[in-house]
Amino acid sequence: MQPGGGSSQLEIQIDDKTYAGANGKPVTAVSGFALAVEQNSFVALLGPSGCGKTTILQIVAGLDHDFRGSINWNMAPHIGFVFQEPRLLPWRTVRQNIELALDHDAPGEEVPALAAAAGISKVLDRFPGELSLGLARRVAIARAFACKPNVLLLDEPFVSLDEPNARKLRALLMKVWSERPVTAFLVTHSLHDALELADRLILLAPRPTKIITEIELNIPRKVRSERQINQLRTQIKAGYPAFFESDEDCTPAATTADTPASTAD
Amino acid sequence: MNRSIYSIASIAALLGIWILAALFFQSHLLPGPLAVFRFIITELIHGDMLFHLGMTLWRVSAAFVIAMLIGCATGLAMGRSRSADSLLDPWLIIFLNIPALVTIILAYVWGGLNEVAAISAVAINKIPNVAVTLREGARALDQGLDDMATVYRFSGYARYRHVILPQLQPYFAAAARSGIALIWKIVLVVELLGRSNGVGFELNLYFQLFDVTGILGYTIIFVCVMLLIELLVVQPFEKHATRWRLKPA
Repeated sequence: MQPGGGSSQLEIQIDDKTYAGANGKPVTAVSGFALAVEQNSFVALLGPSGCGKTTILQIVAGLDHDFRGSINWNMAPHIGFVFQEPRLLPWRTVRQNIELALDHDAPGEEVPALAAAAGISKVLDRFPGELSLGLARRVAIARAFACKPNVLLLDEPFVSLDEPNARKLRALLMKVWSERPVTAFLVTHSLHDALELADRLILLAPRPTKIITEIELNIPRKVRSERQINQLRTQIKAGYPAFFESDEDCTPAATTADTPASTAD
Repeated sequence: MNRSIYSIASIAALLGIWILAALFFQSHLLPGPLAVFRFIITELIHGDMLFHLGMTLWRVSAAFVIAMLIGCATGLAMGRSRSADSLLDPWLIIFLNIPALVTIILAYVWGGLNEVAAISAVAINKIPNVAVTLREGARALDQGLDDMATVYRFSGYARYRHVILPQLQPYFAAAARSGIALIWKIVLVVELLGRSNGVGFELNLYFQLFDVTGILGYTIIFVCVMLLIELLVVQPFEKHATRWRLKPA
């Protein structure tokens, strides 16, 4: 990681982010988080649940300005955000939900093409309440790409899906992303998901969130088999035993999400 | 048997009780449905009933629109801003507890026996209820959807039309429903105390004459008008606004 590197698209520098805790005392959520991101790279932020990863995404998205530090964009930010819960407007159809995210200044992508890519053509005229969580997440992904983003933020997009559906959604995300490459941040507590999708893997320590280490994954995506992902997972877990074992939140969450995948493939 | 059959049966039962009671007492103080029906027809064709109905409906609509506009604006401001809430909350509690009759008398005393005073008195009675309902609506707005609208750079108009108003719709509907029901009752009192036309004025007239047929005739025709408004305006609008909700199987 070289902050200030010439080719980076986005430099995130969060020195300090605090919020008022339950007893009124300030709690530090993030401290000393610095990251420079190159265009069209896929970065996974891996850390235990509730460790302030979402806060980082909120800051990058410009939803939270109350922090010390800076977000430097080398271009006008266009953000696609897949929130942890799909956050569709329940009173608008799937089509309207996607259309509302289209960029009105620049001619965006046609909704039908996007819907076809996300596999939601058949439900375009349904209301979100009629969709399963998996389908609703697909709509959220289609919507995130509709605004022609140059940064895609993904906040635990596979959480609370059963493993077959989560695997389908990961494959779909990979497909849409490789057809429309964009800088992506994936926040996850699952090492398996991070290894399947990302180029860069950032391990985060909780409370306050800070970077423990960064792992570059220099394997082409095409050859990332389930076997190889599992090997890597074992290696990384062995390399950072403290990270994967000391924190109670992280280990069980990661293993429960991963086990069915490794046995099924 | 579906629900509408039950409704028809229950209305028929009410009519039946009325007919039996009228037959039993045989008094001009309790006329049967037929006499009342005859009165309504005669008054509609040869009398001023349509004029009085029209005057009352106009007062109801005017007071309703004013109360909804001011009440919604106040309620939304109070729900969104903490300082507006603490500033206006004592007023709200006071106005909620002033009896409707007091507002009406004071409006007539201070404003004179005129249309403006009459309609303002009704609106002032309803504004606090609307404000309280809409304040709850504004407090319940979903921050997540608001963030979503910010990320996807919704225009101010799109944010209101697609994000905020649909969330407030149930609160508008509740305020409008209870609003109409309350307002038309207060309008009759206002008319009785200080207007020379309208259903309230006519009711007072028939009361002086001890003419129960006239009182029941006006009551029934007005209830029918309000039911029609409910069936033809309020319910279709609600059905349209809530079409996205899942119907129970």
